[in-house]
Amino acid sequence: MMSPTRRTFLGLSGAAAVTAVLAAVGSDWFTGNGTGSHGALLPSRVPLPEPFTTALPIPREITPTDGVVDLVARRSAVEVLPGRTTEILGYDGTFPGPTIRARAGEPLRVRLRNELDLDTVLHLHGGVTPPEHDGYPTDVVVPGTVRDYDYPLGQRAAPLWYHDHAMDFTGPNVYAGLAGMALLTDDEEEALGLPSGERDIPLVICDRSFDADGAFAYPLIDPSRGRPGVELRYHGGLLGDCVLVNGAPWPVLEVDAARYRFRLLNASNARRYELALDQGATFTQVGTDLGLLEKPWVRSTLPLAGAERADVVVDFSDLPVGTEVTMTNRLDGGGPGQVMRFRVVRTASDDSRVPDRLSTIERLDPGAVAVTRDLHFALGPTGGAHHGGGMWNVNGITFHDGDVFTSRLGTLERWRLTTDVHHPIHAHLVGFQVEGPDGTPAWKDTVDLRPGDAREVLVPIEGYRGQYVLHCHNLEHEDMMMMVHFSVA
Amino acid sequence: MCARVRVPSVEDMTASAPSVPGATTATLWLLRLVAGVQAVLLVGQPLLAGRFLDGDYPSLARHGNNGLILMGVAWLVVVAAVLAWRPGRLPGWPVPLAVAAAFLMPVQLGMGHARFLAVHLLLGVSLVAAGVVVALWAWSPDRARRSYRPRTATAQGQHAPAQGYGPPQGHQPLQTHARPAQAVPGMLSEPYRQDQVWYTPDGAARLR
Ligand code: HEM
Ligand SMILES: [Cu+2]
Repeated sequence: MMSPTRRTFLGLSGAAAVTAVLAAVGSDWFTGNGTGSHGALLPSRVPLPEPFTTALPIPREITPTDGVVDLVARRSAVEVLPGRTTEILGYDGTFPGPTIRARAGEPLRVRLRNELDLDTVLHLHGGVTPPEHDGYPTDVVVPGTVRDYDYPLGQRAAPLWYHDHAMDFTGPNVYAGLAGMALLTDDEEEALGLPSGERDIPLVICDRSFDADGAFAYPLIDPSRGRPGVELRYHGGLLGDCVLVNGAPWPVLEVDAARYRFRLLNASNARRYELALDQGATFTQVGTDLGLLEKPWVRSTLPLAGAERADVVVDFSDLPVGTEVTMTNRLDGGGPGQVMRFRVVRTASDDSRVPDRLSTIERLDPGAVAVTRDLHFALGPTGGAHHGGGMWNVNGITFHDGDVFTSRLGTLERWRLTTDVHHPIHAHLVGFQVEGPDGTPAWKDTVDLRPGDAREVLVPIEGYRGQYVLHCHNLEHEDMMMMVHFSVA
Repeated sequence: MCARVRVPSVEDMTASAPSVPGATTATLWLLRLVAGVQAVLLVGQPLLAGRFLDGDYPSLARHGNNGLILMGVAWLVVVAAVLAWRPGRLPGWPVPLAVAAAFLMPVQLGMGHARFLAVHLLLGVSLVAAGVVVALWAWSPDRARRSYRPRTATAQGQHAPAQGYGPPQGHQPLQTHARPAQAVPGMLSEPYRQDQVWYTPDGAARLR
């Protein structure tokens, strides 16, 4: 039996401890760092603009001429923050790079000229590409040279993207601006009647922080790039405090009272978002990373980890002219909690539609799985990394340790992915079949795993033989060794 | 004037109970301080580990540094626990617990750095539990008065509970054990140690 004094004492001390913890540290103690992402925030050292004051830029669109698209990687100075210039590394000097519009099934050649003073590598994210054109991290395009990347594109219509994939420096290179969208279409998709033309808009979402002089702030441990890596504090990922959409801070887009199709891409290095709209607007998701869903999926919020895409339709047609619809990020508050705004400025006719049936996806038979592989993404023992901390790894190995496995072309595999902290997992060449809405199958090339998470994905080994990489798409994790090889034989 | 129920004052209580020796209260406060600090640091460990897992990368380094501090603090707790026992004349059981924790703390640190998480989590939970138990015990009100063991008058251990150190209300002392020192390892500085077993009304025995 407990005496009343002891019971009171225990009760009081428990309450006091909880209160003290709550008071001393604030509530984000119970949600990690309060960002929903793994990493650390680098605060900007310039005042950031008032949200929703700059117009949303629409990246220039390019279509292949005789199957060829030219891109020039170069430095340029652009106005990201009003009244300041920011130096970027950009495809054609823009950030994001131009949107490539191509057709699935028609080979595409991207001719990349490197006018930078650094090595670069081009990777078409989500592309089913032979290994020699896949953008292997050390297969670099040295400054002053031109390289043809040939993409057969024997795959579904999908919102792909392209970005730098240089060994150890993908994080800083993409952060500096080397990323753009590549939208593949085909007859099936075109026949659906989804919003098109001016009402089919890519939204490349990323977070950045700024130095005192308005430059993108990236905490490289060695700014001369003599050795890779970021300062220890950012080893878990760099989080910026300014959200850019198509390269503009918290922009605003004037829209017709009509349906719009948005190709959402999270091009952030480490930040995850859970996007939401106000004024009762919702996302009707029609596609994932690797193409159309079987049927539309109406969602009030949309989680998006690094490299993930969502193909959505937003219907503004019921909203009165003058309505402002704000897209927020529910995983964070303040600046990073805001994304962009849509302002309904006029009524307009709209012959677009979202059919109930979008596509047919062949459901893979789990019984046909030839091999089940366990892949664990975690931080390695202390002392493994250059700064004395742990090294991010897959199954305890890293890029320099050879293949993590060899798969056989034409077989079906099951991958069981597990994590210690947040890791968005991406494999080159192959797609993942996952559960979509209402148990329908869906195709992804990047799956977002949460802390201590476990996911099973079905992976058909299709495409080409050769060596590919498999990595975490938190770019700081990727650069700091959370990338391994696998081979297809 | 309305009738007043007389509530016993503090003076009444201390009057009926001889005050606890200064060495006991002083060493108890030392133990309270260091065991309290250790408990707070220990409870911080799962919190910091959880924050790291939830996304805050710098929390891992804080968890590691906290562990380093704990390695030192654990030995201060050992010293304080010994002092509270002798000369403080409070029970000695926190001593082996504190010594075990102090030896296991570096093991825990190593397991953390090596990412042997199965061992690290088991040991972590145990260390936190042990540290919290010692701190709660030390901080419970009246600890000195309730646990102080008077020096025995004779080597035979003829025992009469000192006045004011009685059983909790409603409890009846049933028997008094006198045990030779050899039976209690680590307590060689005293010839005898008395433990009183009190039986509570529900029949459960209690060692005070
Ligand atoms: C219930 C208590 C505890 C829990 C749940 C816990 C959990 C963890 C976890 C999850 C990690 C990270 C492993 C990874 O990277 O995946 C870790 C690392 C570590 N833990 Fe603990 N821990 C606890 C108590 C302690 C204590 C008491 C100490 C110190 C004596 C300690 C020292 C360390 C160290 C030194 C590391 C490595 C830090 C680094 O890599 O910089 N932990 N712990
Ligand atoms: Cu990762």
